[in-house]
Amino acid sequence: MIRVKLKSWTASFRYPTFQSGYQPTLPVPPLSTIQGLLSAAKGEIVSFSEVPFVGYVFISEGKGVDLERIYALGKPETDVMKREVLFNNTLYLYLPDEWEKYFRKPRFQLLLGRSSDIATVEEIKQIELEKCENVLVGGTIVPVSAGLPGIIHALPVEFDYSTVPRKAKFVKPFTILPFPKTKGQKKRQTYKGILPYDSEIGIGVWTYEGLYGKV
Amino acid sequence: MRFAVGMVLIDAPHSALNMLGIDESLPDRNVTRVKKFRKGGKSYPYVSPQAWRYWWRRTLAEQFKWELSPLFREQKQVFTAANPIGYPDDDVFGYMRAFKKGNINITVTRVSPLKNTPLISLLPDRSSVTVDEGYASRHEGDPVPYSQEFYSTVLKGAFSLDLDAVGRFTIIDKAGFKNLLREEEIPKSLKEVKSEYEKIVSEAKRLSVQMSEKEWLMPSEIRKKRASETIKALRYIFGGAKQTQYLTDVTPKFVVLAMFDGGINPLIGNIVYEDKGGIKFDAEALVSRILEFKELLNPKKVFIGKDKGFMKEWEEELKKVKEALEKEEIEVEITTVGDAIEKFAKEVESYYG
Repeated sequence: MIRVKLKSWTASFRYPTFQSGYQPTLPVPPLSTIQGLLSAAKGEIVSFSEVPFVGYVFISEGKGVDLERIYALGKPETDVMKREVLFNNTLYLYLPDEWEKYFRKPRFQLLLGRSSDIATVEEIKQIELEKCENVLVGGTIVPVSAGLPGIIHALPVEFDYSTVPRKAKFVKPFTILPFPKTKGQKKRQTYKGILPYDSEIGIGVWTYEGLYGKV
Repeated sequence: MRFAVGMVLIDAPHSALNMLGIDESLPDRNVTRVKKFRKGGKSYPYVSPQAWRYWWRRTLAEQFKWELSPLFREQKQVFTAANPIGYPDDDVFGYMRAFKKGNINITVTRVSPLKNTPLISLLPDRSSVTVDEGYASRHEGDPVPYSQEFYSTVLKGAFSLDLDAVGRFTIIDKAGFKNLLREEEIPKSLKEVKSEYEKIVSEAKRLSVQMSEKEWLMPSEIRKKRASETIKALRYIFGGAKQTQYLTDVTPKFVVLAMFDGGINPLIGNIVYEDKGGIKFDAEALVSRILEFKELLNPKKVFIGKDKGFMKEWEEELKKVKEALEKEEIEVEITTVGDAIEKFAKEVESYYG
């Protein structure tokens, strides 16, 4: 498999349930953002049903709040909304080898959220992940059935772009696990089962294989 | 597919270009803060991406006589004309015009070919931000105290312009790709939309736009003009808050510009960085980032512009960049900011033949 390392100055991942004055960001991207990245790189809408496996680890160094002028429904005057933005980010994508060519020469600009969140490909390398037991996971989302404690949220897996505007095709509950930095997080976010382990970053990679041929 | 990408530095020696508003957490509620990102124990001032875009759009109107797309307000929403044939800013900056009446959905969206990051301070707040204590008084009555943050720093920003997408409008039933409507899908009952659309079509015919079922392509002269003026506007860009009091020149003082056959911007990284309160340039980082994507660099040229008075000590480092890249047969032009932008805009033009 290959590991694509993306970096960006900013990133923002929409919290699906918030609609009003404050728009927080999820600490890690949902799968639909990964779908967006794969699609931008390949130049056409990609479905996970075509991708045999995918895993990712997202690390952010900080956060800030931005103000945005919006035009709210049913109100003649403009409003100012607060939006959270993640700062100095790294995203590792674990993908089948054939994805190297798309990330070497992406068809569209790669974005970690909105159009201002331009990402750059810093490295693409061949990597073998060793399977280990009792590994730390984080910087990703895992199915609730993994049994790890964390915030549970219904998140879009994939969007259907055949309608305008796009619609979420498939929404499932996931446990959101930020990249573990503190001792407490490390203790909580240890997965008892077996997972591929990236020893360079020191993290287990939750790999989605079950989506292949299914979404 | 080709992308014109760049990295810019804006010198902000005394500025408050984008404010967050009053800090409500203080009992006095009289301190106005600048926008900041937090990282570890430090904070970094920044300017919103949408603010920079706004300056960019205004500059195109003022300096290049772009007729900006008007804002329409319908009962519940506001949007631009969504007419990329008539309005160059709709073309370059994208749009979404959601339109639904009853069961009829005729929404159009266009992904912006021009993407930009925020402008982020290289120095953390503790070595760049100060609070100015002010008093509002006119000799009568008690003076009113107020405080306002401002900074002294260098801001970094990056952008990417999809040259292939400028002047090319797709009519595919996919979100972001349905830039225009098909005439037959506009119901007769929506007379206004229909006549508005007829105007777009006749304008497109007048300009000899190539119109096929799935795509409209503007003549290359128009695409060339729109793309190169977008780049040239960087040289004259103006805007920002508090200009009355701080008068910040937001034209870049340092630029690195190149074109790549892929949606990447290798210049987003740590080519310039903070070191003990100073701002340093990493020649090796720039060289390695360019070499990493050498095969996509097209033409094999990198334009570096620096204002003479800005960071004099970088000149030696820049020579190293030139030497290292020219060994790899990549031409490096080191010149003033204005000249670099003009020459780069010429390269952008040549993409359109």
